[in-house]
Amino acid sequence: MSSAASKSAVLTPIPRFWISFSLLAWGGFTNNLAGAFVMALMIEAIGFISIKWAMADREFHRAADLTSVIFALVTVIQFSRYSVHGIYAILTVAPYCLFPLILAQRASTRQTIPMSALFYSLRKSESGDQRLDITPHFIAVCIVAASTSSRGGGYFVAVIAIIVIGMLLVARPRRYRGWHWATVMLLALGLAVATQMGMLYAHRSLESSVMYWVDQFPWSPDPNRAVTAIGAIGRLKLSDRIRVRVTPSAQLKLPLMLQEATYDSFRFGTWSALDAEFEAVDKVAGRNEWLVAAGGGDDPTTIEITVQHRRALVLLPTPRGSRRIASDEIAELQDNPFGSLMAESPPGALRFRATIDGTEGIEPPPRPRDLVVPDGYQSVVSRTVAEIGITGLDQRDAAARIRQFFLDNFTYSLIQKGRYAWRTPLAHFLTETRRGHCEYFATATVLLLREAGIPARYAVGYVVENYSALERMYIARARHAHSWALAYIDGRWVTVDSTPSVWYELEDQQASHWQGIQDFLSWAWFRYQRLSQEDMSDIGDVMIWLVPPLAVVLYFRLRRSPTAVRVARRKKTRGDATEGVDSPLAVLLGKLQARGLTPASGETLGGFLRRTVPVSSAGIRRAEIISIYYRWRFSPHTNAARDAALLREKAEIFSAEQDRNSHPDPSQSP
Amino acid sequence: MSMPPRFLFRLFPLAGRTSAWVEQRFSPAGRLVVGLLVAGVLFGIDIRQTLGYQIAALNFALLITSLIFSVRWKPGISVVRVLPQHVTATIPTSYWLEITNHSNRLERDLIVHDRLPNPRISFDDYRRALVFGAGAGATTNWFDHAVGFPRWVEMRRNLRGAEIESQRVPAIPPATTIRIKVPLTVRRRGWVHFDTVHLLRPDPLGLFRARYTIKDKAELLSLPRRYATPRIKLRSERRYQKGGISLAMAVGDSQEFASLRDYQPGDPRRHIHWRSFAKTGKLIVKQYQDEYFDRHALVIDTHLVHARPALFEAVISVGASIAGGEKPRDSILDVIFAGSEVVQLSVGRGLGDALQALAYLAEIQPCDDGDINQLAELLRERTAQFASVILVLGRMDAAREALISDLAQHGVPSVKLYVTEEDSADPGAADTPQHDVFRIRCEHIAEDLARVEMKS
Repeated sequence: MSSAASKSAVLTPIPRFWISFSLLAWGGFTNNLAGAFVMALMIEAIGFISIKWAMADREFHRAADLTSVIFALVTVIQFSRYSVHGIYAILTVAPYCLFPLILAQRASTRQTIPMSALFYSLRKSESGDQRLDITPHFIAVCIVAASTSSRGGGYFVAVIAIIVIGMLLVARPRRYRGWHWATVMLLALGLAVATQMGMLYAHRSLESSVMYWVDQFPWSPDPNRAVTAIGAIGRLKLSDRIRVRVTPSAQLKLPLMLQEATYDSFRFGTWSALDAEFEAVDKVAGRNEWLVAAGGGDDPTTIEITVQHRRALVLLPTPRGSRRIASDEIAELQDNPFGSLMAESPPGALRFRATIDGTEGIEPPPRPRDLVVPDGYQSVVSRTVAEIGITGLDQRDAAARIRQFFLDNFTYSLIQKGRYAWRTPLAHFLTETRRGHCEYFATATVLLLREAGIPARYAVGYVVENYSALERMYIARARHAHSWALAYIDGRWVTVDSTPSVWYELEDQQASHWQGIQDFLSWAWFRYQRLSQEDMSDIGDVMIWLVPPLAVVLYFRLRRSPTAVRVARRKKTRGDATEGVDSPLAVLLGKLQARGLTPASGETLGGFLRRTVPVSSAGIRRAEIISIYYRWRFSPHTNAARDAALLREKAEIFSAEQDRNSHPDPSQSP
Repeated sequence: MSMPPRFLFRLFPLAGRTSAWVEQRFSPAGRLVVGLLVAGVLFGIDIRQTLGYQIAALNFALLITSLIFSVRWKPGISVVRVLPQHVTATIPTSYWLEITNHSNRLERDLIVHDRLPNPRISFDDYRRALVFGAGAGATTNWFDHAVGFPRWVEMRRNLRGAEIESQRVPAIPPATTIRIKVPLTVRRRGWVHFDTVHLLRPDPLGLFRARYTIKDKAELLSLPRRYATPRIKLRSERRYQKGGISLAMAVGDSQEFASLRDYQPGDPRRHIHWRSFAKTGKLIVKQYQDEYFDRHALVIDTHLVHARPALFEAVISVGASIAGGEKPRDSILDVIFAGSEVVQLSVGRGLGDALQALAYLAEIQPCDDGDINQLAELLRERTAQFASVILVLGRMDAAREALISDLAQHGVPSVKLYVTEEDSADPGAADTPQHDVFRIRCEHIAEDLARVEMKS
């Protein structure tokens, strides 16, 4: 019986260069390759040099505090730029935040950090010297940060799998053979592929069925869906927040209607755009311009518009008939068959120029769905059409008559008092109350046009009419959001806005008392955003190249530090063996190693043999071998050569007998 | 001290069990994979925003595969726990686990975890502990302050007695027994109960561990923590003696001549008084007085129900340090304290050993029955027996002052030790002039005990 005690290892086995590999993977996926390269270089350089620093806990505390400060700054900046969506932006740069801590760990003699560096409360307590190797955590952060990339889908999972599998490979249990591990890993990878496909399918299913309830916020336009407030009771209160700014110009004609999205299908108070997938628009070669409509008029006008948005994908509010979009801030532009434009741009203030040239309404022709009046509204719509009396009129006159019908008989109101049964608010609007907001007017107009045989669609956007002296721009607030009908008449889509024009004044009466202050803050914020986007975009790229020379200066400065310690480079060991091939016990230990028996950490050879081999074999006692070994190894008064020969001979006989015992000769068996 | 709501308290055991389960069943690599899975799910909910769902899918698959390969494991392994007779609270020590591989295969990469049962903590106990500060030592950060979970964990650790870490098991060849040394530091005095031993085996991917439970109940007594004390040199009131018992030739002999008497068979010949034999012609032997011992009393104040547990533990530690410390060879120390009844234990000269007294003190709890007067009464009755008295007090009130005065009036030399929680900035000022009381601060017991003069 022998004794052996082992202690759980503090350092986690990680493949060599794996931190750098993870960093470069993160940098590659998130466009931070330069930063990742510099950090990887510093991480590897500090591992390569033989000097390490005997850091006290307080120095780790400083590194952790620096990490916290960087993280706090990044949080403030990213949240201010991207609002709640900033969480992904913070995540993207998380490896930068953690870098001081991992660098401090790599530079330290102990290669771990105290737990008190991470938890402030532990700094005051005397609860021992708990330490942690944050290497795997840092790699995990790199992986999660890389996931914020929206590109490289297939490559991403492959690279992540390589990182994770590499880490699992070096930490794999040795009780299983290599092929066993590989088989199980392949099984897991197969399951991972199936899981990923299942998740995609589940997400799509969930999205199609639940999205209706999730995306209720009316002023966050969805290219595929617009939930109206038809049927909602009480006062419709919209924000004073400035959403759109238009730079004044001589060619600007007011009021300016900026269209965001168009929808063709109405059900349960929701307008949807069916079969209207967005597709990328090709950029004009050599310029940040996109040609979004064919044709060209004689009198092109360019309008500069700035839209405030909180997501990476934004629907552009553009004048109808926009032919060309130009902006340095748009990464990609997509359009759908209804003429809606969606741009990919960092959240904040997006400025673009839209060129219109009098080719309004040349979107693709209508589809059968543009004539559909939903079943629930059929009777009330046909009765209203009869009341208007448009039979026999041509399409243009019919549309004008319908518009006039609303202007003559209906009033604009933001207050809805009645509580109506399911699906009837629009009927009440048309037949009884005859008062409502623009969504009522636009929806009813579309349905009446369709009933009259005119293809029609529902459009949403903004009406720009207000001028801000502070900003020296025309502005549209959230409450200036508007909806109207589009009718396909004489081969063109024309705007039919049947909402009484008084709506704009009524909406402005909704302005809060704080609007002046809000406007000032909004303007200040807008200016800051423009500055950070226009003027400071290149600073980060320049700053990153200051890091290597500063790191070199820091290295030579730290090298003179009294805490710098030159550490011996660890020699490469051959497997787990404690003895070389020239050891007299090489044969015996080799056979034990082949059986998977190796000394535990800190275990003496005597203890190891007592644990692993029998008391005697072939007449040779185990204690005799151990005794000769220690004499040969440590005694200054012995004939080492003779002892080595004796030890070799006895160990070989001992192990040979062991072999015979473990594989008995079949001919000897009874 | 803020009190967490009761509904949160009810979740503590579940949270504690889950945390222990995760720590035991997942390897460090497994915990990393779990972390990545959670992060992937959190940040990958919207698959349009991030690729986190791919991280989640990969790590989910790895974990499921690991779980499948860890469903059932029944090894041919037995474990025997070899415990010491007793340990001392807060002093690091170790014990052994003997692990025998009865199977035909080499067992490696195993982990053994000796588990102590989790004590049940009622809300009232928890609340009382917070009020009286049993959770002392727990970190009081904002989370602890608001939720109270770390304090609950600390209290459970104290009640459990020790935290035993998992140990890696070296490779065990077939039909071989190995011994593993398990470090053990018992946090408190009293009994520590051992319940089960868990053997853990990693799955092929090294993420999750299959568990095999071996029931093996055992108990270990943890003695009170003791500190070095000065040698007791109390003044003896013994008179008319040539020397102490240590000078006697053998047990039963004494140097004090008493009288002469006729020889009886069995009397040692060296005690024959030859002069009387010459005069009378018959054998006369010298008779000596009985053996005489120095007898000292160590009185430990256990009437401290309303004191903070730390103070009571300090009183017991000081008492145990004196009872288990160095004493003159020819003296007896009577350890007197109140448990369910007043207990008097004699230590020295074959009457009882210090270990016996320490074992008693290991289990003693604050006495909520009666008051210090009962103890004082017993002491007054037996004052004549004691050469001197050492008092270890946890409070100084009228009854205790009266006891000290009584002893002084009876002319019994005494050493008074007053254990307090107050951390005096000036240790020199700690000695209260009145009654020559030595003040022992809870946080500086060793330092203050070293300054005490055990002389009368």
